[in-house]
Amino acid sequence: MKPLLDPKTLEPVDPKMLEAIFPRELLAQEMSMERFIQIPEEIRDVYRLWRPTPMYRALGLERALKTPARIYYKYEGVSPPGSHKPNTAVAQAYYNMKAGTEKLTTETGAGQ
Amino acid sequence: MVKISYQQKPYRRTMMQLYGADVHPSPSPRTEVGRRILKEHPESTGSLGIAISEAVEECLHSENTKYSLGSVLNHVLMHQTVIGQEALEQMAIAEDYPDHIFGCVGGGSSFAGLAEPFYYEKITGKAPKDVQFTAVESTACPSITGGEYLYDHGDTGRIIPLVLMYTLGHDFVPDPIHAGGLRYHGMAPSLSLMAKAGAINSVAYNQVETFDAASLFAKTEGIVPAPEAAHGIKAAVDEANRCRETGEEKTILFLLTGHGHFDMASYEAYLSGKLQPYELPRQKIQESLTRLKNMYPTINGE
Repeated sequence: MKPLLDPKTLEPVDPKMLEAIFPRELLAQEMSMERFIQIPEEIRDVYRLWRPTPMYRALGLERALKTPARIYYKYEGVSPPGSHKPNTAVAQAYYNMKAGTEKLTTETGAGQ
Repeated sequence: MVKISYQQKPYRRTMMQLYGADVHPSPSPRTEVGRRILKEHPESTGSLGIAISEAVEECLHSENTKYSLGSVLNHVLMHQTVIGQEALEQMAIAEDYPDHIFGCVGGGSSFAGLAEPFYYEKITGKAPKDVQFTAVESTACPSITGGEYLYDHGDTGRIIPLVLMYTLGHDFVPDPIHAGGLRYHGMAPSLSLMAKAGAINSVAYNQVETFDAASLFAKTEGIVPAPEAAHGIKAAVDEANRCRETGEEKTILFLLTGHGHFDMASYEAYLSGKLQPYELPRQKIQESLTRLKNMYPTINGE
């Protein structure tokens, strides 16, 4: 994976610039070479509100399409905002909280 | 919140406010980048690229404030892999395994979330099948199928550094399609690399055909899908139809990223025949990418 480049120098970006935007723990995750990273218990406690999410066999759809294929779908719409977005939002909020962040800004298109 | 979505989905705004957030339509006069864009394009419907710039600028000018990105970056995709890890176990319970995995892509986090744990099994030899992966885009915002693999800013205001990814050009403003979550010019760098290497396939559908698929899904499965998720449904339906032609008993797995309860205005437009099958013209993409290449010729030269 290539590093992020500073548009002025076209060299890899100074980590200090990113530290103004993200807490250190998330930057560490961003650059990590670890295969697996543990999910803290506090995050799991919030995930528990809606996880694990269901996987359904779409028998109705299969029949309507008259297909020999088996169709499954993993459904993330059971979360409070109604999509997969809180999987990362909750994690990011947690690491920011641990770092002492008081306010978080974010963008949204669909609103979840 | 992207302005067109702020207008199309007002109750999303209410819900955010209920959870304690302040919500502003973007582009807004709150930030320098917002003011600049409003001056050049006062009628701008906004884009995720612009909203990101504003959110980052707001963060940089406030005390004790950080920024949370909804997709694209490695750590965000990693958080989403809970989806795929659960899916692996659920497939095991079903005593089945996907031949093909589909999911919609805006920035790529949900697709990566489902696909990457399966991809890991594939490359470590643990997968019992040669799983195929297909990322599904909107023809109104075809970053992979219509864009190029270049260094580009993650946001429209050029505050975020340059990342190597499939892009349509950071100043691209997508048509006001109802799948607001897919209206992003770029694509996660890690997914882009996988697409470049041929590890994942990609396909694009227009708004009308995805709403057709959503309608079929609602009638047969009960759940009203989010317009973004409907792109994944459409791809899965096409594959299932292919299987009907060939007689193959393939196992198809797709990600239904969310429900469409806040998208009823969009469904209303669909039912009254008002939806447009937006397709981003080749020429517009070429113009946007040429501007990008001229901006950074040394790193984006062939």
